[in-house]
Amino acid sequence: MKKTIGIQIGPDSFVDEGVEEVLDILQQKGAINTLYLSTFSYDRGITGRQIPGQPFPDHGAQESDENYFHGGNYAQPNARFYEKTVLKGEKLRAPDFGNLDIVAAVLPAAKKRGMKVYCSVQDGFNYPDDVDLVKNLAEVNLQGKQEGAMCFFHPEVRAFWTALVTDLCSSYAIDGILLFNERNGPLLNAIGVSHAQHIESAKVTCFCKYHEQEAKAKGIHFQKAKEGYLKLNEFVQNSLNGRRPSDGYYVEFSRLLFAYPEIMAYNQLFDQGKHQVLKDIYTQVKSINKDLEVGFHIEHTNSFNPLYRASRDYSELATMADFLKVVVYNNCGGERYAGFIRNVSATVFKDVPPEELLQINNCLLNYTNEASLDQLPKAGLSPDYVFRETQRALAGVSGKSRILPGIDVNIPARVKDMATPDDTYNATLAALKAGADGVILSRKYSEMWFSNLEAAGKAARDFESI
Amino acid sequence: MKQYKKSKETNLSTNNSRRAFIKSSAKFTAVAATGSMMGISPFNIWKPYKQADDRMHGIQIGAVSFVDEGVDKVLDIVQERGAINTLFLTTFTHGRGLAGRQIPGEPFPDHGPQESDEKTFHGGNYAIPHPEYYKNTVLKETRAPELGDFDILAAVIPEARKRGMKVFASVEDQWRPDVPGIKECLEEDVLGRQADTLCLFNPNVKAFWTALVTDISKSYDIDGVLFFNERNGPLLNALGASHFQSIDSSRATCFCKYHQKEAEKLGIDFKRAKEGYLKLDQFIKTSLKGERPSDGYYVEFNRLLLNYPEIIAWDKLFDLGKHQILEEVYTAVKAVNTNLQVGFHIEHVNSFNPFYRATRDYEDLATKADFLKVVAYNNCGGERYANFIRNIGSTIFKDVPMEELLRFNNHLLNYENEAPLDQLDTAGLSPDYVYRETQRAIAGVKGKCKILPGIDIGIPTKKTSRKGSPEDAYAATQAAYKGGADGVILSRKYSEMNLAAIDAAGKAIREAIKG
Repeated sequence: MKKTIGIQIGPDSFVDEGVEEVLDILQQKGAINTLYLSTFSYDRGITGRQIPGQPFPDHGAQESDENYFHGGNYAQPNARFYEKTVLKGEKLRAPDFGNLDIVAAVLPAAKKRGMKVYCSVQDGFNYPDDVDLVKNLAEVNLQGKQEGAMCFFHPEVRAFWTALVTDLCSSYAIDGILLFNERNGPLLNAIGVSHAQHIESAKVTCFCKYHEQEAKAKGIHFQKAKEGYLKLNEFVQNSLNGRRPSDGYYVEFSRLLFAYPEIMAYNQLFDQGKHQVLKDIYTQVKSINKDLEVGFHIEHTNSFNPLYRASRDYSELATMADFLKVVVYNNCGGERYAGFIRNVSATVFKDVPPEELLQINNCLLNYTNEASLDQLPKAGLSPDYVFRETQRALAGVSGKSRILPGIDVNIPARVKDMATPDDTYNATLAALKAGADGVILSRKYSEMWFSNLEAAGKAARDFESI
Repeated sequence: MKQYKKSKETNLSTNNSRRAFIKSSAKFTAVAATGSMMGISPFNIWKPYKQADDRMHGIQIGAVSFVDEGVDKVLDIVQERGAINTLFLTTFTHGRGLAGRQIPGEPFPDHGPQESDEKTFHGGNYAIPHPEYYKNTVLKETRAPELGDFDILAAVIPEARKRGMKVFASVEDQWRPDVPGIKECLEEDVLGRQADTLCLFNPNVKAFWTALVTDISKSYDIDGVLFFNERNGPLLNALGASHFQSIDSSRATCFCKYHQKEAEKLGIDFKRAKEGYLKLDQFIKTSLKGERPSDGYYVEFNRLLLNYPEIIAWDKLFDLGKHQILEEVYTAVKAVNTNLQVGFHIEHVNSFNPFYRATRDYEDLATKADFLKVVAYNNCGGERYANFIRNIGSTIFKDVPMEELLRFNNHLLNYENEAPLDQLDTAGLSPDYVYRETQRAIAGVKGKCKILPGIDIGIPTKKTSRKGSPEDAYAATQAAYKGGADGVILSRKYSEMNLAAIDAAGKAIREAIKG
């Protein structure tokens, strides 16, 4: 099977640079044969021009889209698919480009060139204020406040995702769907075990009535879970304030997990909800056309965090996906990984010097020869990291689904200079050499430089010629 | 509430390190040595001990020592040389840790017979059991036969009283397979085989412990009971997360009908728990063989715990059974006389293992004990801690080089300046370890019970490992008092202690009394 050389691209780029022009560039410079079109998203990670404040790449409009960026569905939602849902898809049309239907605009041109087209659909962390419909479906945090992302167990949320992919798969001759959902469960959020830069243990989710119902159905004591998370919040806040428990931070944290097994169980409940949506989508897409493919984006935390790794079993994910886009962003990975280490060093592992914790974590994750903590943001992670994570994913799925590592092509970083073309070349080649079924250049064309795109294309071509 | 300072703040690592302790005890050594050279025994250097405080300065002694050396003579030695005011008399055990002469194969100390008791040692109840207390248990015949009619409590209590010493009866959950009735009480492992340990939910076992402590408390004029149970739950055993040198995950217990019944009451799925432990057994075996899971050993282990929350629940069930017995022992003793005191021995693994620490909440233990004997054996602690690191470094942390794992664990445990892994056996743990563990326990119980650290006096170690010196005994004892302890318990048994080490501990005790 030919390797997938894919790229994530938002509607802005086609609007700014022209459909044919962009496809020419992608094919010629990047050796791209598959498009992952950002179709439904409110997130700047995969849509919009360059992130405000970051330098523009050497193509496209050199002006920020801050004054018009909104997000939503960049295709044309068909109301009949949302007749039975409260969340009316037709009302979630992205207003950014008037009547533009990105899928309708790109699909025929791409097909003419023999390129595959997947619609990228993203479940965001939050939604713009004017998207009122979402507010009633939002999660309820530990303090009882309803806000932010949508609850996985809300029946209307499940119905919406199913309706959306049904709409896309029925209305367009696409090759499949790539679903993005980077949200973590309450335990991991409470202890800040991602690369996010803040820890908000008081606002973890979700404690809504649907979660309560689902917890009850699974024999999880809802009140005990809530009580456990309140205690966890106390632990985290005390830790952040440097109030060391007499038995040490880690022991106190473990004791909390022993005393409240509901903490872990409730975190798993979140994952079950998330995976249930993935499964719903997979089943629905296949029921429309079994040849359509469904892929899931596996977020960056999966690389850094052993606890997260434990909660994501590749072999299980492979039963509900044709391919997994495994994030192996090595360039921005340095500062993100350092962020993760600093977060866990501020709570659960506060007794361990961060540098030593990094070394231990490297061992647990099978990373070798990565930079020291103070150098990590500047150095990034190595191509070897890309290689190892690709191999790990391949071993995990045991051939049951394809692995397409997500390659970091100029993802903005706070400290690190932008990835050089060599960085991109090495990362792309590392993924392919490790046995990947292809790659997905990430996060979006509108933040990539041509020289990096060319470097990725060269790696793909060089690999083919090996 | 007692005043204590957190180790982090009052870091004594610089002045409480082994080197510092040795330096501070050098004076003592010099005096002792000079005394010896001049024909004066160290015993004569100090004035007789005067009871000046209410702290318990204790020692563990088995029956054989009194038989071998004479009650008066032993009491003279421990009182005058060791400054001991409290005896922890080994009253019930089948284990050699507390009872019997020196462990076979180990060098004899400089007192008592220089001959092994391996041919005669049996164990059991070294006092006289009274049948009326044992009506509700099949464990009726437990009298230790090897010392004839000798009744340790009857023989020692009157003499101890004359000297103003307190007497506690030590009772240990250690058995031998030929005790009448024991087959009805044994645990069942994950493969359905009978183990050689007793099930803590078995009604016969529960009834036995209550009967035993009631019998002892009613029949003798003791001050209380010190209860020993060093057994761990199935998860920690399966992982080899103790200092024992072997890992046999298929021997994890207990899956008997009584456990099953108890699990049902608590809503724990027995079949899922068993399935989880079988998967854990598989994980351990493949880890020991070096078959690395693609996500790494630690991740695979955690995934198992996530997929089978029953694994942790079952381990907690074991602890629940253990603590239930502690509670029953406490209640039974207090029912006889509220003034009697009950203490629990908190095993060594509590020092090394952060998971274990997490399952032992000092404040909770303090609600069912008047005092806790916290094991802080620093000399043998070196090789034991090294074993623990090697054990977990062979399974869940196999991806981490052992030396790094040790350093990581030291941080979690708040140990500073301990030896590297390859030198731990020969270096032992420092007096600073004793100090920190004492302070941790004191902080943990929040004034709700007393803390008596167990001090390592000549506990046997491997041939190549550190052998405790008098300086070690002095420094460890001193560290416990500096840590704010309510007393100490010299451990494990008089019959393995050299007199010089008892002298040294006694000197530290006297200094503590003097203030």
